[in-house]
Amino acid sequence: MSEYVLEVDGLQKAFRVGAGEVVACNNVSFTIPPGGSMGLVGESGSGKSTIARMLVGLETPDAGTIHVRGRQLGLQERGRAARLRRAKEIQMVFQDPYGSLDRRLTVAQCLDQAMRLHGVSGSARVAALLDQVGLLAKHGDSKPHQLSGGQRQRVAIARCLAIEPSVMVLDEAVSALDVSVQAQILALLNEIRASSGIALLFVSHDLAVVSEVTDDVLVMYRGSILEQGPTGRVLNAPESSYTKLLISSMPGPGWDPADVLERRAAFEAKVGV
Amino acid sequence: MLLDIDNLSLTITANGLVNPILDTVSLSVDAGEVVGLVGESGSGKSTTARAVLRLYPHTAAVEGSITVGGTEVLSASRDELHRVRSSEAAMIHQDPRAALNPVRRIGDSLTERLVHVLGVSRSDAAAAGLELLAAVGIRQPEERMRQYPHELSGGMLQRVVIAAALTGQPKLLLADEATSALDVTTQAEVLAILRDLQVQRGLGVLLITHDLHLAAAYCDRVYVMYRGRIVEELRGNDLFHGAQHEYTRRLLSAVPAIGHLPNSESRAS
Repeated sequence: MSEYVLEVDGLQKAFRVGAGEVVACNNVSFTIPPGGSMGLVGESGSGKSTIARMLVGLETPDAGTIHVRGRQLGLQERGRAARLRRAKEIQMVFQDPYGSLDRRLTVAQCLDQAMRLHGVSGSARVAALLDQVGLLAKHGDSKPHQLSGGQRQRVAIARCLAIEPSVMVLDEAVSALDVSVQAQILALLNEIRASSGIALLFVSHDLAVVSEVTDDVLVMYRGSILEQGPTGRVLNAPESSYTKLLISSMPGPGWDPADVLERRAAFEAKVGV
Repeated sequence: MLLDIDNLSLTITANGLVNPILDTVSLSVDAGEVVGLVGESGSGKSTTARAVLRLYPHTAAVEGSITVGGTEVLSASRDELHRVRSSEAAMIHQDPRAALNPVRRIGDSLTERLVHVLGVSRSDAAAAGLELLAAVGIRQPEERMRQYPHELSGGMLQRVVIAAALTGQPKLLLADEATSALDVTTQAEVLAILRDLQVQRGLGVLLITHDLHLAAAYCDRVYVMYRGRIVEELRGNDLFHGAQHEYTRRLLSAVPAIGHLPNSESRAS
């Protein structure tokens, strides 16, 4: 038994674009302990979503290995049983819960279906799941369009928890929510990992959000990890000039978009893009 | 005053239930001014912006007045309303992919307003389109005009949408979460361009956002909305430290922050 819930080693992925190639993920390795939470930050196109998608099997890596609780996952799952096994290990929550929930199913049906699919018995657990994510029993009878964005995201999280995965991947899962709702969901995530030991991979371009919910963080730029370490250290005393650029790009008092562009141009000139 | 909303109330009655959406909202935007409108979803920010173009359900009961460049929108005739929508005010939405027709070329979407609404010839419209794409910082505009939305990045598409909004030479821009879907550096890029255009053309901008840090840093004045009411009006610089209203303070306290950043502390002072 490995001491890590998730071990990613030497992950590699390139996409062909026209005649050339874009390396979306270049030799990426990291580990997450039980109950741990890893942030994955970077701008759009940095490769963070590609990593998330490779973990859940939506993209096939060119090279590298993924271990969950010491067991190696196939690079490409073939057949229903293998895909279900994969889904049982790693679940994903997307940015837009409206797009990921079936609008014809009630919340209870949605949770029940997920459990049945994975052979986890128990419509009795539906109530407990709703309670765990801070929803009321009556929400079980609601359909997605009757719920607010924050409630829908809670349902998506409950559906993940329903099948008791080892790893939960959240891809910009709170980006579309208001700050106050966002704060509630972040608190919920912290509660879940403390109580269940599920490892979280939290993908976001919002550094402030990442700082609230992760222990460690990976900073990606054009497919490569430029900096990694404890979240507090990386965000308070960044070493990479790219991390510094990201932090200073966040709107705040005295922020001027024109300065951000200058700093960005200087960074790109330095790395020779 | 470029935009003047005075005591605007909007009520929707559905299934016998009276639903007050906006309650005596008053706000103003002057030429050359960037004004923020912040609040949670459902607080009425977007409804307010849409009402400026008289876009609300037929079932809505509306009171109060909205004046855009001297025209009273709520009581405007068909022709007056047409003029406000085509050449006084323009709206930019959050998702540029939803705003552009995926099966039409960028150039067609960009010049649509000029050709079909304002009756400009196709060749003149194309020339104007190229000029606007250059103005929003898009390189190789000729090539972009021939491309389709899926071939461009989100940041570039949002710049196309801004260019398209400017084709009618509006004086007022209503930006509804226009940069919320972009990452921080792309957001800065789009906002820097917007600020340049705004200064050059003396545009008034109503910027709707849920990003309070952005509102504080980018806007001259900020209105805070809660449950259909404006609860507070502040100078952008004062948003984080001068808020008086309980709701504004609660909203500010929910904003995630990188804890004890030496950088953010120095910026906050």
